[in-house]
Amino acid sequence: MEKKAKQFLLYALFIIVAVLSVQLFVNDVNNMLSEKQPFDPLLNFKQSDSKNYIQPIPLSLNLDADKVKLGEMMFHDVTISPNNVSCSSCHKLEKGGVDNLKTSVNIQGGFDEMNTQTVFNCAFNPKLFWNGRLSTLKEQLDDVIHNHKHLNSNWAWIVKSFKQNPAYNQLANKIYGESLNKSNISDAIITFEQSLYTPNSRFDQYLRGNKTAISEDEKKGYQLFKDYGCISCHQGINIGGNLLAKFGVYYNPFNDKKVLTATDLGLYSITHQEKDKHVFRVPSLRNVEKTAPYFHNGSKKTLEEAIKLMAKAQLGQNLPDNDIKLIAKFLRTLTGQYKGKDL
Amino acid sequence: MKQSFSTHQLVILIFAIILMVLFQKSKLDRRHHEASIITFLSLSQKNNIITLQTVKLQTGLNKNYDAISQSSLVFNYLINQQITHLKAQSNDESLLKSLYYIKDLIHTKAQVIDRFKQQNAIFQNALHYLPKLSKQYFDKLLLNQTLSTYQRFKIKTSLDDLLFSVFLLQVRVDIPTETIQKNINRFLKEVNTRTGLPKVFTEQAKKITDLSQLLIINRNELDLTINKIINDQVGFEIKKAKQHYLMWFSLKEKKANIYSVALISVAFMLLIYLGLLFLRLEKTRKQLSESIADLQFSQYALDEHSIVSTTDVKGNITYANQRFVNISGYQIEELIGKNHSIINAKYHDKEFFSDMWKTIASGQIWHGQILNISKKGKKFWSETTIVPRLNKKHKPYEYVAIRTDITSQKTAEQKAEILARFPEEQPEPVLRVNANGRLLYANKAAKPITKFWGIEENELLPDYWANKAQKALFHNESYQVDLDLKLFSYVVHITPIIDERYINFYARDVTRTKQAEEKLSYQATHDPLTNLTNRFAFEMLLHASIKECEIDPSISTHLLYIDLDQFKIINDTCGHVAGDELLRQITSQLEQQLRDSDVLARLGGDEFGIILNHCPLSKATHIANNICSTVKDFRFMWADKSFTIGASIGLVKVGQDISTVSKALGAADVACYMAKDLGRNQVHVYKPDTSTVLEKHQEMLWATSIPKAIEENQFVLYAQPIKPLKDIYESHYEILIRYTNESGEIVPPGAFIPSAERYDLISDLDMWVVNNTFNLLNQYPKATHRVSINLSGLSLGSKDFLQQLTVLIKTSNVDPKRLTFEVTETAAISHLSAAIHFIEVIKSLGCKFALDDFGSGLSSFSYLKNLPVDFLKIDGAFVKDILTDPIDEAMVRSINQIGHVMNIKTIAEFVETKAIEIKLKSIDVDYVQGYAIAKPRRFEDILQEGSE
Repeated sequence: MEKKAKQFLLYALFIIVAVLSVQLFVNDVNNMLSEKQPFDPLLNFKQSDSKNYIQPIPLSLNLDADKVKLGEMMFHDVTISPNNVSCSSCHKLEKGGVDNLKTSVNIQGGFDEMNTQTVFNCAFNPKLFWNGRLSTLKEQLDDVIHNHKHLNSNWAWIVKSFKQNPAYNQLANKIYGESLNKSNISDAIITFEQSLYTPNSRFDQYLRGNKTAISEDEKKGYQLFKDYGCISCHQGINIGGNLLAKFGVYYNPFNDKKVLTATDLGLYSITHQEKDKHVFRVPSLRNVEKTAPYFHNGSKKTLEEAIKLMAKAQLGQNLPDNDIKLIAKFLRTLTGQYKGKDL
Repeated sequence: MKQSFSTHQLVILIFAIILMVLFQKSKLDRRHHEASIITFLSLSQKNNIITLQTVKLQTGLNKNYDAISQSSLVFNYLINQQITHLKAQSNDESLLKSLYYIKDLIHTKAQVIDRFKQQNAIFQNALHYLPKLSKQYFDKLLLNQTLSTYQRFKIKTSLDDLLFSVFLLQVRVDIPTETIQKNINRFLKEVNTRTGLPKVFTEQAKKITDLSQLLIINRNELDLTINKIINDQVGFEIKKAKQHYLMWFSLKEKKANIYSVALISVAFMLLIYLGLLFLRLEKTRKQLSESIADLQFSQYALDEHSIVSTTDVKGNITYANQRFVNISGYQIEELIGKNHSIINAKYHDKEFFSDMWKTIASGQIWHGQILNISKKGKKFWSETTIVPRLNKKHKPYEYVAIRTDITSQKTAEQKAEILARFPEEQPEPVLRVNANGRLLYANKAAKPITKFWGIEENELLPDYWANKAQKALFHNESYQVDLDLKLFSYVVHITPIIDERYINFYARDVTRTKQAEEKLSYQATHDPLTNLTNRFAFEMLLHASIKECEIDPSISTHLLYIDLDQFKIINDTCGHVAGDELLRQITSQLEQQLRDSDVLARLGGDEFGIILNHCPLSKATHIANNICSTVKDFRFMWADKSFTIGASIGLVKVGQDISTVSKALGAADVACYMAKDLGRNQVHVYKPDTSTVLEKHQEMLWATSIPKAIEENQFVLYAQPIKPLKDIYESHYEILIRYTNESGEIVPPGAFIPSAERYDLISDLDMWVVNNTFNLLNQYPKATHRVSINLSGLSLGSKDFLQQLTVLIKTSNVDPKRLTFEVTETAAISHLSAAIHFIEVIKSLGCKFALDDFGSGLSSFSYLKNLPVDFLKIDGAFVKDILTDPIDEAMVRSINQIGHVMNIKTIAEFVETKAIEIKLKSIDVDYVQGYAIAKPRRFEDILQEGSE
């Protein structure tokens, strides 16, 4: 009997050794594979070029089509929230990624405190939200899901809810080789958001060397945009969105306001530092034509009004109407294409 | 795998597994380590890039904030990654703490960068707007005609100076603000001192100077912020953390290296071990396959040799091989599932099988011999071995029976068993002795021998016998040795069995033979009546004595020949019982007279012989005379009667002339005869020249001649007619015998008959006569002669003779009525009862009897009553002188009368004249015979005549 036990032990040990060996090998292979495709959170900044004020949006990004497909379905899926709202409830893709409201209607029935920002080209933004409090889409997604005014949901709910959709399960299995969970849902949605880029605007065409892509007026507008220093803040790939700035360098419009909302305070509402008062993220001007009304509270309905206020607040200057017109013309050249069609 | 793994091999394996786990861990560490190192480098690099980017942005070399935003984000990302990597590698608190510190610093730096971007944007905005504003101002100024060209030039120059100094703010860090302030003041002074200028110019100028002032302030703030970015502790802390980490890791790596080396060596060992194991496995596999082949062959061999079957625990057959099928006579389908008792021959008792089941059920192997029966009823013995197969609980679940057909052996065994009992059952002693002379075996019959020797099995034989045995074995020769015990006698054959190195003793019990031999030799040498030495032995002794005398002539040995007188009379009158008694008494009388060295023997009837060894003549004569007088004085008492007897003794000195036994006996006989002749009861010493001695001697020669003559048919039959004196009677012929000697002369019977009687040849002579008479009668069937044949007394007393005669008469063609047999009165009386029987038997066949020489024997008439004879032959002595002697005439008359009274016919012999014949006729005698009637003639001639 002792002999048998010994032999049994031996076999068990052999099996352990074999399993360990296999595991070791598999781990190595996995490591090799993962080294080939490392997770790159900064994918969209790869082509950043600091030599020019503005750089065009890449014509194509290398994204997983299945992930995009899955994320798109989820993006539009109202079962993401117990309150039957989806991401696209506010970020309507056909309306420039916004709802064109002054401030969005929240699930509690009231109006939200801030104007909805476009979801297009959001992936190029190193700062998110009007006060720029978050840096990544993942953080943004987490925030908006749990925000009781927005989606009022949680991951457990979402996973459970999405699992009832066979298409999701099928795709998740195909893409991730696993069933739906927080991380792969998150990844799918973010990948879809990354796919929401709008290349090939007329201005981008101009930047790429097509000198006739924009009119003379628009060229004049661009020159004015530069001369007036607008371009100091509205630069980069997204023509803004990559820095914070104080609203009202020469003229503080909040001084005229009798009641200031929490959102009016900008970054201050987070840091509570005096210097962060009215500090907002400089918004991207891409597709700005489509994302009216403007400013964090949606106070200006037209581009001209917005340009006028900006010149006054940031330059302390009342711009001539002609100049405003020209600048607005220039801004309208920034409207790009999504899935090959103009927004 | 022949041997199971030893403990240390086990330990090595466990050790190897532990090391493998550790190695895996260390390997994971290395992956993180590489990432950590890269991350550390990236962090340092990023820190430097951020500084560079900051300066580039400030100086306008970089025009957008994408890159720095990216760097800031990456910087944050990297430190988070680094924390993750380090957490994965270790829980070194101080290291993590420093990283968290760096993370805080980076976070702060990010805020500083944000602030920088904000400030720089305003600064750059102002820098962009100032030329635009200046140009508008200058353009307006050119259109204004209120100032002279010089004045306008002056304003423009101061404005240019201001712009230039302001632009230096962007590129030169060390531009003193006082210079710009001075230029601002100069520009304002130029504008303000020019009177006549519209108010808008002064307002515009104020805007330009305000903007410039703002630029100076912004520039200072920017410098502070940039310094903050450049001079913060991030780089230093990263470097420090990196050093810290590298030190920590190198220590860890050392450990990991040891693990790796150990693992590799153990793995190598394992490889070798597995290799060896494989080799051993391969070897084992080969051996196994060989073993399987061997086993299969063994199975094949077993099946070829043995009857194999398996059964379950209940005895139901589950397998049977071809031999089983063959011997049992059942088909395999008939066997499978059937109980094994199907072939039980019911020869063994219940206990036999219960014992068998008990053995195998307990898991033990059972051996035995079983008698089985085939389907056709043929019984066969099998040497059976039943092997139980045991399960893990050591309980049998199957039985394998292997049988060998031993029917022939069994039969042989039974035979051998019976054969083995052979020596034991053997009535003769059998013994086996080994080469040392030790008794190995003795059968039951050998008990007297071993008892005599006083040994048991495994004890040494007596030296004599041991030596004999060893000698037999040594020479490989068989010996025959006599062994006499007190009660038994044996002849022992000592037979060596060379190959087996032992010796067999086959003893033959010769006790009875020996006794018989002794008896025989006694009987052969002794006379049963007197227990004296008989004639045969006497002659031997005599021979020895003669030889002795021949060798040493000085020795004087004498032979006595004693013949008792009157013995015949006592014997005839008182019967042979009396005669016998007389002989015994005489013997004891004689013995008293002899010396120890003398030999007394009974030579025949009433004749005795004595050898007087080493006895001079005087002494011998003395002894002989003593014997003579003793016998003379001896009175024999029988039936109240006293008889006197006498002895005639012949004395011969043996040796010299008397050099053979026959000569000695003959001489002694002759001497005795002489003594008798000389008046009986005396001693006569032999003298060789006596004539009577010659006669006597002649007689003795006949003794040898008669058998020869019978054989060679030297006898001739003669016949003499017996003539009836009365017509009613038929004549017949007395058959007589003659001898034809070598020279053709006819010798009358008187010459050889006495010899024949003396030497007991008379019966042979009688038979010859009877045979030849019958032959002649058969030769002449036409002859109707009646014959009368003489028979001696000896023949009359012989049963053999009677039988032979009876057969002859019955088988011959001769009519028994033609036959008459003559016996003498003396012969008839001396064997009276036998004679009566003889006569009655022969007469019953139809033959007649005649009593010969009636009257001569002095016998009484009363004998006639008992003898149923037909004829009386009156003794010739009476007839011869009948004419002259009245007594003889009276005798003849009385005999004739008595005969007639008893209805017996009478015959007168010796009728030599016609007168006698007439006389006899007158007396009324029935027949006459003699020369007067006819002389004897050759019987054949008579028959020939009669046939014609």
